[in-house]
Amino acid sequence: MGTSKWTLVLAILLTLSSLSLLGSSAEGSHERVIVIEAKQFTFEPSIITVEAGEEVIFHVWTSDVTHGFYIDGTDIKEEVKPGEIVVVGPITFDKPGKVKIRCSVTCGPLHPFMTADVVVEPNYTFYGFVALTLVVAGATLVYINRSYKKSEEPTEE
Amino acid sequence: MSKPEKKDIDLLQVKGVGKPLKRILQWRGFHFTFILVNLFVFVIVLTAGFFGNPMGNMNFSIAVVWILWFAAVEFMILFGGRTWCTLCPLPAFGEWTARRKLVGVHKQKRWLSKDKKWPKKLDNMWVSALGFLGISLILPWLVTRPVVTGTLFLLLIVFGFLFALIYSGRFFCHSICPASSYIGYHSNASLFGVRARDKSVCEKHIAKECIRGGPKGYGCPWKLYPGGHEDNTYCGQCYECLKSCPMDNMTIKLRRPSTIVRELTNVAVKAKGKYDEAWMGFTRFTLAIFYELVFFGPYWFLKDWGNMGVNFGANLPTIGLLTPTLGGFQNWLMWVLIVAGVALLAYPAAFYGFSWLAKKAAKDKTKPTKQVFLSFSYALVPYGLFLWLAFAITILMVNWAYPLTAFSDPMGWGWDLLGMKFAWSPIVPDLIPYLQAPLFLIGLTFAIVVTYNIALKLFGSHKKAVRATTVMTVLHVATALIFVWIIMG
Ligand code: SF4
Ligand SMILES: [Cu+2]
Repeated sequence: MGTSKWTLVLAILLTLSSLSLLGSSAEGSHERVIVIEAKQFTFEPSIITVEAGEEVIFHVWTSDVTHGFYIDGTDIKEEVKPGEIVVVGPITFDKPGKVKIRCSVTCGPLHPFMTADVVVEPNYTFYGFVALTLVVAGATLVYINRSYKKSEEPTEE
Repeated sequence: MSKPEKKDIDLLQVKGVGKPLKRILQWRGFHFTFILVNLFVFVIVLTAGFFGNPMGNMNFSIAVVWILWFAAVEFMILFGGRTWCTLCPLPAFGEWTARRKLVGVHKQKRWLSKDKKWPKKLDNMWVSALGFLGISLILPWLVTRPVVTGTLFLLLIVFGFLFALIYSGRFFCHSICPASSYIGYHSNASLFGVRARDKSVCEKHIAKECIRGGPKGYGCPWKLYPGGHEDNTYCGQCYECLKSCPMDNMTIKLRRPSTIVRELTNVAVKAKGKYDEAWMGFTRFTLAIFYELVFFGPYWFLKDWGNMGVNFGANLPTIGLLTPTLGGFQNWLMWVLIVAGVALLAYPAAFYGFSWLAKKAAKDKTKPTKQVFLSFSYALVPYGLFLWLAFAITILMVNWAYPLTAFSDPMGWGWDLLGMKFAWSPIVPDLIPYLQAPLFLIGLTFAIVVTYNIALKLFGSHKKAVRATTVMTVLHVATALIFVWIIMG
């Protein structure tokens, strides 16, 4: 399929575009460029960590067939065709937590499961969920203990 | 907890709903009609599976079965127990042939079947549970390749038919069908239950048409004593007992949570040697967590290993495309080791360890650890179900458009029969974890409460029960946190 040739061309293009962006960012904007390779059936990198409030631009390209690039909770739903670099953003991830990137174009059998994670740090949502789980379990234990004391007999049938 | 007990709702006596529902359930054409409709759906599944678009999510057999049905069954279990089994067409050919009737009641003893007794060794859910595990091992293929799904369903229909010719009643459903065991197992956490209205009526009633059959209905095809029902595991909800009982004593109960806990506790305490059910619980529980990680997580190698590294979809004419490379196959063996290792060994071992600790903490010397372990495993009946509900929510919210579109274009050839084409667009995908959280937290709470009630019966003392429950809670919280990490971390 000549994939490797494309890869080389794209790699050069991407390096150049990232360099130019790096240059422009020196003039005050703080966008971070993240290059993402879409391929059957994942994104590379598949775990992306950003700081809350950070501005991000994705440069998405595909090393095989046409893929989609969809970000949960946004209007972003792009088609990524072979030979193209799709520039997505700038996006600011404000809410701490985990945001999923999904493929939105049927690209093969495992397409529905082609995902990547953007983890927005500090991940307070995760800590919150952990705390909530502990509280619920603790409260249930306390409830069990108390509910017994009110009655005299165990629930023997 | 020993306040005057509130009664469960007798669904067939609820004003405005009960009477018509009862008439429908007692109408002999009811079962047949639903199965017929479903049979039509199955014909589409098979046709699309073998000859439709090789790309799974564009093919009815995958989109409807593995997105819609797979998720819907979990909700059916919660609200309707084995309602799927009421509607399932897989055993229909066998049952019709054996009975030589589509709708009515045939005189007994003239079955077109060898009508053999069920082998004692298979009077459990081992075959079914291992079948479920087996299917789980090829799941990345099954839920993405139409021809694999088509083949599985064809096999199930053929086996359903053959078993009905050999054994009496629903032996295939009871012991073989790979969906049966998990649906039945989790139905013990369902709000729904077919029960006798008044058990004392049954005790006095010697004829027991619910077992032997009568002019209006067959005897229980699952070989149960419906009048004595206290659990849901093997009640196929065929409603024959509702038809056959001349005393009008069978009904549908909507069970209160307290009843669910009580009945489940009884099942758990009585479970002697039921390793099949325990391992069903372990398998289902670990797989709910594992699948969330594999299918919606970011780790590609897990998907790739399960997929044997094959990048093609396939129908019957293109089935050859599924030939994996040796490396792909070896990776899949790794996947098998991981899945089976976690489900059959690692988690059960941890569960056993915690059960042993729980017994130690309770300072109990009367009950063998084996029994504590088996009984406590039933906490996974609700816990596992709610984790699966959490998983099902993701599938539905993200991929709802595929099955709906497939109704309009079942073969995936670009038709639009019903004018229903939907672009893929997830519903509030950023909120999915917030919808999953209440589900698995309910599951966790349920698990703790059930464990306590089981412990209370096993050890007979509140103090001991609380200590044992606290130990088990550590394990249940740890697994919950793994799930939290997968969806949020
Ligand atoms: S359910 Fe009906 S037929 Fe069965 S024992 Fe009870 S009263 Fe008799
Ligand atoms: Cu894709």
